[in-house]
Amino acid sequence: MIFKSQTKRKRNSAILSFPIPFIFRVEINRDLDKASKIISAVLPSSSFLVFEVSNGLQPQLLKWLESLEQVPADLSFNLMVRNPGDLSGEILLALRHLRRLNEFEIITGVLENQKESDRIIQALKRAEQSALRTRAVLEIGNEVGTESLQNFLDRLFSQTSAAVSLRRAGSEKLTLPNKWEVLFSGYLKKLHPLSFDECFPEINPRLWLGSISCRGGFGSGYVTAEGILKPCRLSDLVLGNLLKKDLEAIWADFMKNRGSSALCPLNVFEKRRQMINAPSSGQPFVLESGLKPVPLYRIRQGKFGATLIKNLDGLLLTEKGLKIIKEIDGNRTLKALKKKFGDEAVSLVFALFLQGFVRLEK
Amino acid sequence: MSGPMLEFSEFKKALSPESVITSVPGLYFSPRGNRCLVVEPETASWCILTEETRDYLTNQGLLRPDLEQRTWRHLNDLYLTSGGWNEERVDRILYSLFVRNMITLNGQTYYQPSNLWTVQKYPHYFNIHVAESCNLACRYCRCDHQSPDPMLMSVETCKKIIRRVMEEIPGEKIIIGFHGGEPLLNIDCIIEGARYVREIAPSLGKKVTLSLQTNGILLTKYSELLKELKVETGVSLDGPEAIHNRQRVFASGRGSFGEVIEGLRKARKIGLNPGLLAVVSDPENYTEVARFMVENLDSRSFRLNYLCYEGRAKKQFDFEVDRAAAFADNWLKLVDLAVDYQKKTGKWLSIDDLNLFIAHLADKSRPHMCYRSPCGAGNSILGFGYDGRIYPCEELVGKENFCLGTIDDPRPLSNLLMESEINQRIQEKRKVENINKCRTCPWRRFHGTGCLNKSYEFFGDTEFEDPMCYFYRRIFEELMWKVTENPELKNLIGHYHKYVEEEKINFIDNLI
Repeated sequence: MIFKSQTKRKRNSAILSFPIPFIFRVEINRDLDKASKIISAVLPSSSFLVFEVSNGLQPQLLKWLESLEQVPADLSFNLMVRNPGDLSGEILLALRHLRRLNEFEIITGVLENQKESDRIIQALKRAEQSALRTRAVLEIGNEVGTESLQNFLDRLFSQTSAAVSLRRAGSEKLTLPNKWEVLFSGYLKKLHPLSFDECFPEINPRLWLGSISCRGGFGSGYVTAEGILKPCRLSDLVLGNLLKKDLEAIWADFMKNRGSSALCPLNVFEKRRQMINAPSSGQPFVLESGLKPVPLYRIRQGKFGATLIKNLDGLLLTEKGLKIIKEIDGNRTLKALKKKFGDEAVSLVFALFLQGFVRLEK
Repeated sequence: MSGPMLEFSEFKKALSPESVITSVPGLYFSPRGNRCLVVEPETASWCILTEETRDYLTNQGLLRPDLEQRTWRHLNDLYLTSGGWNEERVDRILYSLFVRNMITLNGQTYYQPSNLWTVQKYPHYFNIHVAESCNLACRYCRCDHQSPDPMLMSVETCKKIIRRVMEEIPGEKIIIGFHGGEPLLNIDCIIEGARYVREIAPSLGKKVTLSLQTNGILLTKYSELLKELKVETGVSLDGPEAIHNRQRVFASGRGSFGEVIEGLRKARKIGLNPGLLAVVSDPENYTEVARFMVENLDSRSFRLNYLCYEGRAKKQFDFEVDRAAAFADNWLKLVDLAVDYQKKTGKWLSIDDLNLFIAHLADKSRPHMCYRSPCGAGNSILGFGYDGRIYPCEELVGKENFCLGTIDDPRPLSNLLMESEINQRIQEKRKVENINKCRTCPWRRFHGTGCLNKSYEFFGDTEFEDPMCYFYRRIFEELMWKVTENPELKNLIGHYHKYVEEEKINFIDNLI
């Protein structure tokens, strides 16, 4: 027996259509009390956070991060730091002791000065050799020449094992998108660990849409150090202030008043959904009924429903979806799931499979 | 299992133009020159792609370093857009990826990871600390040499342990190791224990291997006895005199090299032939220590352990947070040393754990309990303190928060294990999927979660990665490149040929 996926695109009723943000980027400055309040405000809905630290790795910050080890929720986080300075053994040791630290990321521009670039490369190398998972978040803008960008990327890839993510240095329109598209495609073709941290509207979305963690506001959000919640770092749209109003209320207000694509002019959320859910050729995808979906995610049940968490990726489910998910345990076959929940279970498994949230075993 | 069991012809039969090939998210890519190493972490599968193959697969969208989602293609589309590759060639590449779980065929994978990594059901190795005291005061040891209490196990306790494990543990093959401290300080226990084992083993249907790890000081005195008792003996010797004497000293500070060499000579003379184990405290010494073993001691099989953050070592040595890198760089030179030796003599060295790691690249079995997930603590090994207390691992002996009970406890050993909260926590939590840094590590199934005790000592908790995990990441990756360039390195597998036969290993197949 085989199951066919839906050939016409149809909303999957097990997956929440307009999920409340559950992946947050949070700006951290010196005011760690405010940061703690923001974390408390987002924790009921979130299991992973990306901290964007603007003023280096101060001892107070390390202590504050250490205190997050006590948070009862199943939390993990990435730490993004601008100007990390010289990473001393003491700092690296403190970072190693953060059980919930998933990735250590250094934000940098394209550095043409040999000394400056050496410092960043050394910092990445030391972090990597201290067993931290590392990444360079490279900010690029029109002032960067293609050759300089290529030289710096070549150095990062040849001298470190760090992954590299690209994001914009500012909001101006890129003047050389075609050249950069060719350059980035070249690195991806050679299988270098290059990805996109945020959207690059001028570049073909096929290149960046799959790798960004942004969901255009539905499922993701950016919080400034002052508590202001925005759909993303680059957006001017203010959804509310988490220090004044709770997330649920902010979200309820937004959902009540929202326009069709009000959160993101690029409609990233919908584009991602199309990329994942719609088979490109319209032909059936064959799944044997005896296959057993094996979860590769953790379930976080929170105030707003259930989130499936896989690394830094997540998916918010409806109540129906949660019921199905609870039966996915690596032992039940697709046939058994279908018998209990009907076609929707197969459809959900199919979506989870394509999104990399389950693997299928015999 | 040595290499894919699915034949290409069988794979081909499963293909049809409508077959759907999907990519597998989470692959690790490491480009080098025009080639690229690819690792599928969940099944510890790997290959090195040539430029041509890499370009073909990336053009088809089947490999991308940045996607968590799957991409998919119909086989027919792959044929139609193959850019000059014929169908047979496309099928062969897909086969190579399929048997490494790097693509799926109609959603299915070749290996079923849930069934691949099994945990041993009950321990087979019982490590008995017959003496917790020692006649040396090595600078890095965890044993407390200053205690006025000699901390020797009674013969009665030793026999009780032996009887209980032999009666209660279901397996036929059992290893009983005498350890310490310095076990030869309690020779009565060893004599009586060994004789007792020989006496009761036949009626209980057990095949028992007896082993002992000594610092070698008392070997001149006891070599003949150990030979007579058929105790497989290992001697700790850290290399040439200058290196050895820096760390392995008497309480007075005097080095012990002379006595150990003397003991070794005596043991060899009477045919005991002990194994050699060196602790390498300075990574720069790896090659020198190995050369000493080979050239001065005429040994082709020995073990080199790096110094761990434990016991007195914590105070005596600097443990830089990035020390693993220097250890890995120098450890890798052992491969060149072994190749040079083979060129000169025609013989291959067997250096632990180089031999084991070569086996890990060739096969999915994980013969060494320390490199599994969870590690062997409590499921493959039990440690017994001199006072009869029971611990999940030899390295945890004496650490009270890991104590499972005592040998006098009337409950069966299996109950002690099952009812112990700490053991339950170890078995459940100390898995690669539950440790944050391991969860996404490409090397998680090559290395497992690593040593529980070392994590505990370094981080103060067991739910952390191995503190030296960068060492393993580095060497597994480098070894993959090395064995692909020189497939003859499979001969370094040494005594692990028991688990994977050299003749079945063909590392050249990993170049696709």
